[in-house]
Amino acid sequence: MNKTYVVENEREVIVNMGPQHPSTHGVLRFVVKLDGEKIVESDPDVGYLHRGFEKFAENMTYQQFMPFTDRLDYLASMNNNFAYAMAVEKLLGISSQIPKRAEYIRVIMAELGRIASHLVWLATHALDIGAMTVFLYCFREREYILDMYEMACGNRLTYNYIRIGGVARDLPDGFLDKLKEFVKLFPSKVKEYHTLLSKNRIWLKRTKGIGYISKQDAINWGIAGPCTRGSGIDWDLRRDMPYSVYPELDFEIPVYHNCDVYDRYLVRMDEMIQSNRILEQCIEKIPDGPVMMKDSPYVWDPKEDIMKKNYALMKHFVKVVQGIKAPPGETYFGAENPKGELGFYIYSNGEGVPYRMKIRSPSFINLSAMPVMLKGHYIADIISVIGSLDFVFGECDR
Amino acid sequence: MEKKVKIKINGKEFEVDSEKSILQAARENGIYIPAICYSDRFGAIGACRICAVEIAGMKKPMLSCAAKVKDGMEVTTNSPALDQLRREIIYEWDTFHPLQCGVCDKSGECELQNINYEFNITENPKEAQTDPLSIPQGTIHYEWKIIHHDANLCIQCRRCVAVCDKVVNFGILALVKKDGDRKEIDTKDGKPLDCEFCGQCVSVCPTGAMSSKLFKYKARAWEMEKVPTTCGFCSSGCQMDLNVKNNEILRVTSEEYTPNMANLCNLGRFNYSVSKSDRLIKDYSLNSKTLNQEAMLLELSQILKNTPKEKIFGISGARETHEDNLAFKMFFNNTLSNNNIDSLSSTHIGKLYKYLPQSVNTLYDFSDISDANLIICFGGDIANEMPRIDWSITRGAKLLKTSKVISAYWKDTKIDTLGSIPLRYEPGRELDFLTSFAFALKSEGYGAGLDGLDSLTGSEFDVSSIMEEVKKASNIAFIVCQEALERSNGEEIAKAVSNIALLLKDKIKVYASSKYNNAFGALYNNYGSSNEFSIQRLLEFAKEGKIETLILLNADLFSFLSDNEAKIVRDSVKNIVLFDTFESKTSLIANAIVPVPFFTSQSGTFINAEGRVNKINKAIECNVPCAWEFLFKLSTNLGYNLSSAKLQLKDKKITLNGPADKIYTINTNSSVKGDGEFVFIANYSKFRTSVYSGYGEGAKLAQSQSVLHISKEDAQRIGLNDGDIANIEANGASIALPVKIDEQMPKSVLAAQLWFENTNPYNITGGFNNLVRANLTKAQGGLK
Repeated sequence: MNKTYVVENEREVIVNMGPQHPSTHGVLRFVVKLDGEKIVESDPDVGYLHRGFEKFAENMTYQQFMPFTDRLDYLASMNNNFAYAMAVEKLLGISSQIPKRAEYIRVIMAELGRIASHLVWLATHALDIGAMTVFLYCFREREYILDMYEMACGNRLTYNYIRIGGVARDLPDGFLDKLKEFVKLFPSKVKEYHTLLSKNRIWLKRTKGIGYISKQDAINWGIAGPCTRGSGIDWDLRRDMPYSVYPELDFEIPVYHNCDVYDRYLVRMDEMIQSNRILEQCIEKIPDGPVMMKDSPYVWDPKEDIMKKNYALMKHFVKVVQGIKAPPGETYFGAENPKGELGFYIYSNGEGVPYRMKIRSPSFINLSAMPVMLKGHYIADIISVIGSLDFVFGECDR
Repeated sequence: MEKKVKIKINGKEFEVDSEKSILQAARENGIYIPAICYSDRFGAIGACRICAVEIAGMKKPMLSCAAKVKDGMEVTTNSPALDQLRREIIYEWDTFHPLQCGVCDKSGECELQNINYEFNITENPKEAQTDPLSIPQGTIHYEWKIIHHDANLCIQCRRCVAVCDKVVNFGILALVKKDGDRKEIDTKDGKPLDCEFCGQCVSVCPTGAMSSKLFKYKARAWEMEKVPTTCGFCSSGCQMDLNVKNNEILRVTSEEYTPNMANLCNLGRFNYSVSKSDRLIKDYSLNSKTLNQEAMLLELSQILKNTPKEKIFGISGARETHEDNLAFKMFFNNTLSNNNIDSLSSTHIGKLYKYLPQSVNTLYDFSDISDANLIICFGGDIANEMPRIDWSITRGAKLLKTSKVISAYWKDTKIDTLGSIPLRYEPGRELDFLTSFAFALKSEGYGAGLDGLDSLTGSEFDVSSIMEEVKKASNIAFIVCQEALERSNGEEIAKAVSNIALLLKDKIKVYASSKYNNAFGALYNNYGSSNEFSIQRLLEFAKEGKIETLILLNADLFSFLSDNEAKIVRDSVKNIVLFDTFESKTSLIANAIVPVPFFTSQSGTFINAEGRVNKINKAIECNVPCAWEFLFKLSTNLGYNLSSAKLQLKDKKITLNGPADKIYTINTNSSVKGDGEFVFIANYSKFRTSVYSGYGEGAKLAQSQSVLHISKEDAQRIGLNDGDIANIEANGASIALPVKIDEQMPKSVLAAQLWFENTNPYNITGGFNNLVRANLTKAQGGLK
């Protein structure tokens, strides 16, 4: 950051892009050294949205931190809830005890979140490059998903729905019917997007061969998620380091090999279809039963017990006031989020609050590989590369 | 001495001290055994049974808190059977525990809550078997002062009983039988609680059964910020945490890892409301006119400029922080280039450390008292003067059983219940005991080779019992109480103590008690060491017109002089400048008043009687700068810049300077002045360390006024009953006090406590003296 640029010949110009720029998707400052219109060097400057979440985590109980995860990648809050809950559950050693129904609900929410996140990506990406219609179509479908979220948890953006040990409440009546309708309809919508973009000449000109990052570079820079799969790396945590009920579900991992913006576009388009498949299977397979663990020292007792049983009331006070006492030790858990691998590293020394929490945010890491992708391209390509990396600054700056 | 044994805990071998219990051995080695009733403060009780462990070869589980380790012992601290046993116990507690966490003050830090969480209790078979309507109703003691007891919340761990008995040595609480088989914690005699109100029972209670009335419903445990600080009431220097919410202290707690092992007395624990007293001085004022700081600085520097430098005198109250104290000294020595200052520590410990030779004047830790073989407590009721020393004595004699106690005083006191060897002298005859003791030591061959040994003479006082113990002991703690040193012949007493210390040089540790929280700090700053002015000569200097401006730093004239003497000082001094925190009689007569923050509102250090440099931290905001900041500004106005870098004390523990080894010749003339039928003594209450300490709720509720202690016989003879008002006359003055018949008082002796607002006992004894012959009459028509 804040590199000093030396202008080597008179044709070179240093341009400051952002931090306020309509297509930087948040507050990103980009310093680019140009030779004419060609990018010689570039340097992203981040941190404008830093809120100190990791430090916050050290001062609050494990449950209290859940709403903070909503505010990481706010386009996929459910996925963040899910990843954090699973990280804490891994630390507590209760991953295997989560009720099956809760696991299915979580996967439904996560896959809906993936579709919603990809829809926003597609909408804004296309808008940045000049295709406004796509934007309107995508947001139309996203509304449908947000309506479903609202049914389940009452919120449309920050959900705070998934809990350590399960989910906050069971799905409401009619939710699965609405989901069925969506799942039936959605593939035809994706087809519409394809007709609008995939063979559009302008779209191809702006994306094909742009933002190249080789397979090896992608590994070296540690980028994750759809961006790596667009560079020919067949890696998806849902399949390769399976968690929750993903092993019980059948889905494919789309991989493309041209390492450019267009291929990353195709990966995400295919992922939406795969998520839709997962949702189809979840509707079939979701069992009945409780949605929250019971009798565990790490989850809250049901309210009716707290009001009637003194031991439940006493335990509740300890859990709320002092926090659940996670066993001493450290853990890392990474989940496959729409943007890539979202990981939580938690160090516990046995107290009610974590001693240290580190968030591996995919946006931050994907963004840091941008200079590699931009070198030698034109300045206008910055926009399409930003679009293809799909980062969110709530998560990048934390 | 210590024998090591090898034991196996959970298959791991450890080498531990043979005196340790299994629980202690396990905890030392980082193995956790749950326990509710056990604490290192008072040892094993064996009431909760949660700490039971399995020992190979034993049929039944044993209580690890009570069972001592033995060589080759194999202990298992956790097994399904033990878990079940512990659960059964928790079920039992839960069955009778009300569903009151929502309104209970203890919620959030309750040990019953914690143990329920720890064992993750998810059912209670016992509850199902019990008819909820048949649960007996326990007593709620609304009538007790300061302490609230709700027997319904009690799990009968008997911690409060143990702490009251084994730490405080008061023993008023017991598990007593109520109707049927039911037992409850109550006072032994069933009367409303009348005790030292130290609140130790509140601090040890695992549930909300014992709670503080002053804190009730004020805040939840987790809402308060804990600010660690040092208690500013006496020179014990107990470490405590001020629990602050919204810039207000709501309670005081202490942790077990502190040197005082979480023990606090009434003043420390309950008297925090002094900090928000309506008698706090908030404004700068000059001749009753309120000024702002800048104007005050200008006016004061004008006053000081107009006074010849040698006519400016200063008295430090030994209650301010070390920084204020040192700045005061620097202000006089550098800015005013004189040394016309003294501190109130010169009225007692100053005398002792003036004579105590360097080789024996080390300040030792209080914990060493508990380890001493022999504790000699001389010249006062230590429980009233410094409760922390009293607890150390109790710990040694009652809990660890390592120490024998000798109490040399004119009255039976609480430490005599520790099986002490009582040495009773008549009040004012302290020197008889001291010189006889020194003489007996010399006769036994102690101190051979010291110069001036021959000058020691004894009296008829019988010290044979103490000599036997001294011969056996290898480690003696000698505690000199403030009362003895405050006598008018305190210097002679100090010399006599120095002789004894020197004779027993290698095995004695001398402690001195002081009610002034920074008395040792003032002593360390070397007040009044090399000048002709001393606090005792204040009156003389004033009368002679040598004092034109008198600066008082936290020193209340009426707390060490009689009202008359204070008036003489007032009349003969042109300007009295008072730096003080609270309004007092002195603030009414002072010309200029500079407010000083209370110790809860400033950061700095206090030096306690162990010589420890203790940090105090600012807990609540007040808009007043520290005295040293004001003095520095004043000094700048007078044309001298003082350096604040010098204020900082780098040492953790201080050492005092003392003279070379010397045997003193003692003038044993009686100190009792005047004539009268009775001997009147002005001594101390454990609920006051100063007049302002009575501005707090805790101390006021515990004792609201000074009372006259009198023997039953004398009271009957004069026709006095409890609560009657008596007039005491001496030196042409008289004071009126309510009477309290005290069975421990010897005949013809009267005692009243200092620093209460209802009276000033110095009025009849005169300043720098606390003993006088007096006459007693019953007041007619009550108190005027």
